[in-house]
Amino acid sequence: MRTFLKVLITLVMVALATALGLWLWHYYMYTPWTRDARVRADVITIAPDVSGWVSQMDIQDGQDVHKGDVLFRINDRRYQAALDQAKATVSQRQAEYRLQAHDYQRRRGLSSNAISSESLDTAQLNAQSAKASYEQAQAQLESAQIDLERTVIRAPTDGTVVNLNLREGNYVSQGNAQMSLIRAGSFYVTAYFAETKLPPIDVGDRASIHLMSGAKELTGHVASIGRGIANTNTTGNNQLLPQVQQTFTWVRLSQRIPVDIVIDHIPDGVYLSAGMTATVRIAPEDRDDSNRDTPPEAIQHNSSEQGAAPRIEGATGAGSAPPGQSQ
Amino acid sequence: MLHEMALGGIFYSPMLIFVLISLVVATLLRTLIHKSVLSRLVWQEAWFDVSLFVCVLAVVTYVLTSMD
Repeated sequence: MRTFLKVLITLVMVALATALGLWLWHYYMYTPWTRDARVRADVITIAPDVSGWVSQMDIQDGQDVHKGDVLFRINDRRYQAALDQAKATVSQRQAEYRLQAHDYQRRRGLSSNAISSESLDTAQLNAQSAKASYEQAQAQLESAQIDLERTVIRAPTDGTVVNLNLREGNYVSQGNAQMSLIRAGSFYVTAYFAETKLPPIDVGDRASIHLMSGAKELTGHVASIGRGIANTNTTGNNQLLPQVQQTFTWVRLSQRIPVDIVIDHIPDGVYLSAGMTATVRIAPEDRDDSNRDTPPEAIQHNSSEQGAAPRIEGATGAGSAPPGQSQ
Repeated sequence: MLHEMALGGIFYSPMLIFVLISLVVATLLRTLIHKSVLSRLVWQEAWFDVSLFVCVLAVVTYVLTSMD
């Protein structure tokens, strides 16, 4: 009897451990959380629309700017000269046009005995041509005006200047980015989730974000789930045939799918920089449907067709899938 | 609270922390049990110890992750 009790107690303990171990495995392996998340932001690269050397810098690295603030100025003398030239050309073409028009007006008044129809046609066409030249000069004037205006580079939006290495006197070329601007309030988090943890995640799910720097929790919700990542097997050779790998490793890691998370609340004192490391946990049971752009009935309807007929993405919003069994 | 613990700029898996805590707790429990009369109720000591550790680990994980 004593032995039986001993065996029983030990076996009960082992059974309990198995059950709890299974729960632990499931909890740890399939709870949708990831250690691989980064803070991101909208980055605008500022490139001048005209070339020239920088005559004045109005900002410093890391400075907050408002939309329309002057960032830097390019020496505008050449563009001023081009504008003057364009103005002069306009005057000249205008005079030519008036001369030709006047000529034509005068000849048109003459009787057919005094002027050949050929001369009249020539005068008319000359006047037309002079008019076109005049309009062309006007367009060039407008273009020169735009060039001159764009020697002053302004902030396209509110934000913070990042990575400013430009100094007065540097020569900048048209279209070459000189600095970047982090758009104010555009911070979001991209969490890279293993495929295995993706099924319970859905658009609108609340997310809890922990930055590496501190214990303060940021909250957010899932805005979108990535619909594609690169696949090396599809890269083509020079004949555009896919280069399919013959080998694959025995141990294969699950792919990581980017999930974008909109930050709803940033606690006081938390300083965000694009590129920061974060841990993200999604709470699928705690869904915030107010952020979802898909009506629930559309999702219900959709779930019945899962895996059957091709789905119309437009009907389900930006990549949202039926709750509990997204692909 | 299933998130990484950062120590000195290095992220640690929470499981590492949980395992270390559980190891200490399980060792204490095991010592207590083996010192008391309860040790007479155990059939296979090794089985019991491993099971005890897994149970403690599950409880520690649950308690620590549902704390906040």
